[in-house]
Amino acid sequence: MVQGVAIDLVLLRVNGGKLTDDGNVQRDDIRAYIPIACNLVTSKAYYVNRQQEGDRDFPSSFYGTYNCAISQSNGVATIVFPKTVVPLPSNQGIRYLIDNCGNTYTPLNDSEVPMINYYKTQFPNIRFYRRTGMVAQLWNVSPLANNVNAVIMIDPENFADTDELPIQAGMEQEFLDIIVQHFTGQRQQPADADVDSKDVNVVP
Amino acid sequence: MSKALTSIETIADDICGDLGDSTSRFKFSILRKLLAGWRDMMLYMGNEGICIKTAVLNVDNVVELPEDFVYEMKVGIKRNGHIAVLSLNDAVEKQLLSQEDTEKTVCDIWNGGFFGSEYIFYNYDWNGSLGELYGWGGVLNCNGYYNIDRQKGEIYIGSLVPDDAEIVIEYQSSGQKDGLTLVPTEWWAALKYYALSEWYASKNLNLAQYNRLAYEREYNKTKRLYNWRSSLFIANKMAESYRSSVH
Repeated sequence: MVQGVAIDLVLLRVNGGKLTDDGNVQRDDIRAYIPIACNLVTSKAYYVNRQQEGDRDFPSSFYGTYNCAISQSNGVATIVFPKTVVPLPSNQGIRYLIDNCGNTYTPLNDSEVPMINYYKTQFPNIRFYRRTGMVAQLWNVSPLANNVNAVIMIDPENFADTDELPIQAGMEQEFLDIIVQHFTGQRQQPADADVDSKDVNVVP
Repeated sequence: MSKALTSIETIADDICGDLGDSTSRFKFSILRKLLAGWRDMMLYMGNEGICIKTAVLNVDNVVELPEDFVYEMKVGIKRNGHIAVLSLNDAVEKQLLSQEDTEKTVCDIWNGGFFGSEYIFYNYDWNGSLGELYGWGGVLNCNGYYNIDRQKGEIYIGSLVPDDAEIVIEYQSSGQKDGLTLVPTEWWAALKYYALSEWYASKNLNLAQYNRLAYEREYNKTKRLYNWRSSLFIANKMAESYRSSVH
């Protein structure tokens, strides 16, 4: 589902089936809430898939490939991600890293980092990485490698209205319901101009 | 022990695939357990160990192989600082180009105009330090470039190899093991179950026990394979014993 369509659908619903320019819920409001709902249904889909099929994969169509140059400053090989990676559980935002020599990189978690100086000599042909924020540190980088293709899922906050949202098929209705529920109960119309004790536009 | 070797990384990838771990976040943990299993099997399987080395040899019509050569893993030809990889061991998938395409690709590699899969020649001894050499190719047809006579320990160099090139050969050495993480392919199943048993030990006791039993079954199967003798061998031994007792 494209982000612009999702916004229109939510607007239709909260305005009772009629798109209006002077509603209190604006497109920007919905756009700001989309990443929250999006991440919620993405995580939920992951656990549903895992419970039903034992499958730990997010659909690969949600990932994009970005080329990142390897920096060797201070003797430490690093890459900087060009956009914010969605902080999914278990570092699922990064599907994999592969350098221009065809080597893939194995992720390390925090408890494994202290061991790496020992194990990088035990596994001289295996590459490792550790992500911290926008940066990933690399170990055992081939001297011929100078860039890495990062296959990552971008944070929905970076999306334009024409971008496809990373929502698994079948979860769209729940995604829309979450946003509609958030905006339902909010004032839809400005107060009426009549100076009396009644406001006909107030939500009952 | 079979000649085909498998990288521990490949076994780790196999396990990660079975676990549905597409981002490989369990891989390092699995690798550590495989290494522990490998040491266990090296200790108790009575294996002599595996040592991989790389040598760079000058081109001649006939090139003497290193004295500790057992069999080749990868063969490449180095020229202008670039190595064209002509052959790979059986554990690496390969698809051969035609002879004509091979000649063109080899020239491209030597001229630095080829960017494909990179292959590593492990344990190259350069002035006393062990390092790696990197080559490209893996799909090249080696006909016309070289032929190895393992009995005589010689490589016969074909006419397609220029005089200023060097032969790069990664081979199994008869020397001491060096910790390189290649294992015989027949250990694959046993190592896999060992790693899964250890991996599940703190997560799911039933699966840990199941995999431990599977490991012991595979371990015994591999050991039987190593200790196997044909009935003819045994019959011969019995006959020898009988003859010696008669005389």
